[in-house]
Amino acid sequence: MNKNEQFFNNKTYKEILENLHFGEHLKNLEKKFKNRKVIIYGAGILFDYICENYNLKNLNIVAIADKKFEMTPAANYKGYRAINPEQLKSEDFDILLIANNYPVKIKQFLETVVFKKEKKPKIYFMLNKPLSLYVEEIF
Amino acid sequence: MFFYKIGIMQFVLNFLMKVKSTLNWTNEFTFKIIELLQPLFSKNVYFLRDTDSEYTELIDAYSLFEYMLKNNYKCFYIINKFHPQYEQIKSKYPKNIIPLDKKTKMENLHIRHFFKFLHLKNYFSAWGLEINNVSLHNFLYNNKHIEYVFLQHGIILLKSFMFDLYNKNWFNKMLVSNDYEKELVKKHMGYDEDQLIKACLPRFENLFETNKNKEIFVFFTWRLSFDKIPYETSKYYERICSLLNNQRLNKLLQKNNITLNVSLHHKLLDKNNTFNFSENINQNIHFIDSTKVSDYIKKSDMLITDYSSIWADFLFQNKPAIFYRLDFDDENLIDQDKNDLVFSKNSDDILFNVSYDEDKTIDLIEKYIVNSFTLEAENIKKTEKLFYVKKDICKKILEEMNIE
Repeated sequence: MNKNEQFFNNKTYKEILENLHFGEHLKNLEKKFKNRKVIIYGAGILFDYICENYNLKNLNIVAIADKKFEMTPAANYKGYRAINPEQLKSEDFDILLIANNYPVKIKQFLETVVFKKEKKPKIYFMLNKPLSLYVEEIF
Repeated sequence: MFFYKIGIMQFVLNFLMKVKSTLNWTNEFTFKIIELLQPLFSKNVYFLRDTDSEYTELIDAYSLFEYMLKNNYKCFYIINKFHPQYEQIKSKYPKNIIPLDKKTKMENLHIRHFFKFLHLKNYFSAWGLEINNVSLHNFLYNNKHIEYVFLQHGIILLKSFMFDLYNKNWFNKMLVSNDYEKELVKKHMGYDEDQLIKACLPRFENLFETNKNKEIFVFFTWRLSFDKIPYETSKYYERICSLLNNQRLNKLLQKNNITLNVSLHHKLLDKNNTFNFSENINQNIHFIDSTKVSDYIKKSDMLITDYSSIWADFLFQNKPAIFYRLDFDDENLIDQDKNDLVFSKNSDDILFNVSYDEDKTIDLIEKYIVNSFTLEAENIKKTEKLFYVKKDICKKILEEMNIE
């Protein structure tokens, strides 16, 4: 089992996010992205949990994007406008915030497939897991 | 200030990713060379791959691999070197496996097996793990000389979350086992009729086995909710414990000398691989290793499940299955699990023996124990509509794909 698997295995998101002091990290994201338009990428279990247990009102979230909205389009998801990855190209936004346990490959997908011929947006990772786990993901 | 750390962190990560992508230039360059040279080479090599998970048996792509090798096709099986079955498969087919390890990763598979890629005609994937490597997936999906095929590892009938995963942007072709599945796949996953291979799961070809002992197999699908909520507080856990502790069930097992083989998700097991559900564990109840599931599917006389796709393995053999939807009423499940449970209800008419409470489940178990696990004629008729073919499945797959 690699370090990422060990980190997530047999733990609920409650335990993981509390250990990461995610609440404080979220406040820092709000300060950093104040007055910027944010799109969340990743309408999965992590985002569902964050949405239900943390207050995202201070993040100016203009939409939520996910591959699953390609085949099953939805007008809204958890109160946010839902779009598929291709629709990102025509959206007006400043920051793309990836909500996923393994955001590195998603960033690669977005930059090499979705935004292949377009100007790359500023992409950040929502989950503040330790740097060493991100390095393991990358290499 | 504190929030600048986010900027620094992301800067470092972006830098490291740029370093990695620069190092990857040889990978990208090699893909381009392969594309240039492919037209010069005959297409007669096949790659097959199952899951990398060490907790899951390798059976789906592996069944087709064995058939193709036996029939003199030039095929190679891609396998995680740390999988429990690796040594056994390696000793059986030393020249036809491609182990994934620190040296051969998905990202450099085409470099280490360059000449095989030049001849590659089909890549059969049972779990679609190639999506984890964007470059490789792009290459396989877009390459006009290679057909990238989703073999599947279950029949899509009862689980809606699959629609988001394996849609038409993922594979060139997909295997389907019956008309119900075909229509679901076309509607929800975007595949056209000519992208669908109408056959059956290749693992069904090796199912039949006779067994003198009477055995029942219990297998419940894992819930995605347990990434969010502790499973100990769930109705899922409560009702599995209740079922296994059920006095009536335990008496039936003992009186009729029947073994109940239970396969639980490894996350429910403790460090000793045991599941402590009772102080007085009935000796007729055994907990089995999840990598040996196919052995139990073959030798068991009946299945108890919620909506696991293993139902198909039993119905294929005309063995009864009981669908006990044990946590249909659990409001604490995440939407995805709730949607799956609701979606599975749509198929109650296509299937049979669907139960939403424990007592009815025990009634059904008792009924089949009394009638020696014989599936009724009317239900056998229902199962015939669930499988396009019941023999020569691998041959049919290759025929559908025009592979001679």
